[in-house]
Amino acid sequence: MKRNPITIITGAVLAVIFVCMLFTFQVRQTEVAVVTTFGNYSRSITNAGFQFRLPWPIQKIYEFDNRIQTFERKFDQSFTKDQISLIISVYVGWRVADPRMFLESFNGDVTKAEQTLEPVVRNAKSGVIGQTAFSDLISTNQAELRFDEVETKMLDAIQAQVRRTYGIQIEILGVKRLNLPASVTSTVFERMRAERQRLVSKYQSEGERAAKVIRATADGQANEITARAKSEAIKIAGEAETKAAEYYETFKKEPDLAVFWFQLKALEPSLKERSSLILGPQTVPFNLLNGVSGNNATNSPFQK
Amino acid sequence: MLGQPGGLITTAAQALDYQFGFKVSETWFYKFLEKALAWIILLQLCVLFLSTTFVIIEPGGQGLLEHFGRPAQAGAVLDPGWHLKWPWPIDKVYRYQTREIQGFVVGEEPDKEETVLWTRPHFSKEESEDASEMLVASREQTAREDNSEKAVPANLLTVSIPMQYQITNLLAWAYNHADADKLLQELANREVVRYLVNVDLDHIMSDGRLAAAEEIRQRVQTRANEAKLGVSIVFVGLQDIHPPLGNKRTQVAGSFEAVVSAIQQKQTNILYALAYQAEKIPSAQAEATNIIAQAHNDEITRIAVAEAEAGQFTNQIAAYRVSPSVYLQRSYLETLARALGPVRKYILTATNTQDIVILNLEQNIREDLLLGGSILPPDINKSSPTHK
Repeated sequence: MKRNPITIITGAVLAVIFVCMLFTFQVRQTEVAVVTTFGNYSRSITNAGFQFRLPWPIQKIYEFDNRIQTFERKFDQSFTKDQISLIISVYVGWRVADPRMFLESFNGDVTKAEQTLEPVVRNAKSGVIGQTAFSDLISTNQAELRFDEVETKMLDAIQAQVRRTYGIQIEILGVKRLNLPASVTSTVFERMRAERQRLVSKYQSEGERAAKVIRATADGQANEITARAKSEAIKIAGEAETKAAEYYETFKKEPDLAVFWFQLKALEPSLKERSSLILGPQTVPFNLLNGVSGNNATNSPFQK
Repeated sequence: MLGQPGGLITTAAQALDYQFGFKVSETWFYKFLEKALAWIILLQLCVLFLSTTFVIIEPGGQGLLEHFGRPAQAGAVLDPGWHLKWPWPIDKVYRYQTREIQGFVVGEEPDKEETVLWTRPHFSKEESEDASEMLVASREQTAREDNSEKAVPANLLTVSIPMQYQITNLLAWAYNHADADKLLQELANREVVRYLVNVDLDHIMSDGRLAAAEEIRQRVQTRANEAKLGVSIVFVGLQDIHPPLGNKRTQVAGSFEAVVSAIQQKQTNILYALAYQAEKIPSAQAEATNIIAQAHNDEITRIAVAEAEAGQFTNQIAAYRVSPSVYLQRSYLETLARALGPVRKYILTATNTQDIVILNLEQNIREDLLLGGSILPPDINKSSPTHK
């Protein structure tokens, strides 16, 4: 029977592909692999590349992602050393450190590994927080803050456990969230509001004080300006009096006349409207009226 | 099937003959297909195989070329464009959008509220029990701290911080972490928490905001570099960081606004006082100028009057010396006449009575006393009810 060469070529190609699939495999840069022979561990492959193998079911290949896996533990409530209740969440970055141990511990299942890791992380977290004062975790004083140290302690506590037991390595650990329980949150809200109220009062009184100071200063300055002006005015009046006195030399010539004259000058403006005068019958020139009434004709100047 | 592929075609032709009711196997197309099927399949396989020997990377992206699972020695990162490679499964290419700006939000996810006010909820969880405020330190609380007290020396802030990043090292991004994006978000969360527990609330709420954004960006970048994520943090926005809404009993955000109002009120009081000052000082200066000007006027008047009086007196001396008594009497009477003209006068002319005359000198004086200026005789005064 004459064979079709195309058929032969196609068959050969497919056969080569099939053989390659049976006897070779690739390990990616992101992976590690464990080879078992009849169920027994044979070797671990940690370098990426092309590898030979015996066909299934003689050898089986288990490949695991060798990159850092991120695992986040949900919120947990813990007490600090000073009995303050905290809700804290941490994240962990881990990777397969020992492929064989990882396979044996978790059958290569990442989800199972993280479920196993969870109580370990929780235990370390609660333990470390219990040894830490609240002010070590939150403070404006950099020297007082132990935030990074707390994370390192948690990492160390977890590391010691998981490396030798589970074949995984914790590469990163950090506090993702830090919060307070709802009951404490209410009191913090209350205190925050009181704090703001204090600031409101402070700013109001500061404003009033500053305004009073400005007004008082302005009044003082205004008074000073006016007082200086009045002082200057008095000085000017004094100088005027001195200059005026130079003219008074004239009055020395007839002092009696001068006194009389000044009296007259004073009399006139003092008898302005709404003045009432009660005059006796002897007042000149009203003594003339004595003759008019007829009673005291003897006192009348007309009789003289 | 591999040994005699034509048998499969024959079976298919018989089925078609039956279905269509005529001899499909005798058509030219069937005969061509029967002869060339193997070639066609082989050709398709070849085309498929050859199509795996080149790759086209779209703009904005990069490709990661692996040779037997390892990054290719000669350029593992492929930039946008056309590239040759070994066929599958020897070489494989993984594509990533490295130029694209990617982002996430630390804290609360914002709603699509157009107007964002502190006193109105604008995050999906803001009013719920699950609201996740972040703890913030307080300088005053830290200073007051007393270990004997159970008061929590912390404040809470509602935080929503958008962060944007770009992949700068594809090899690091792809090979170091199973979920690099998730890890970056965790690191960013951690850095925000770490920053807030060490910063004063009032500082970050006011003048420290811009500096805080840059500080957080740098810290996240440092942590990302330490974790070998291969990213560049291009933006951290702190525009939506504010006091929490509070609960039904205690409205916190509103109390922060009250502080702002108080600051405004303080400034208002000061400005009013400054306005008073601005009015008071010039007014006093004007008054002072007026006083001095008046003093100068008085000075001039005083000197002028003195001079005039001296002149007048000099003139009077001559008249006086001629007849002093007459001059004095005349001057006296002239002055009296002038001065007493408009003045109300009571002249008591009776001297032989013991009656005490009481005059009411208030304004409501009898009209007949004012009008006519007559001098009443004593007998009328006696009948007055005011007489005793």
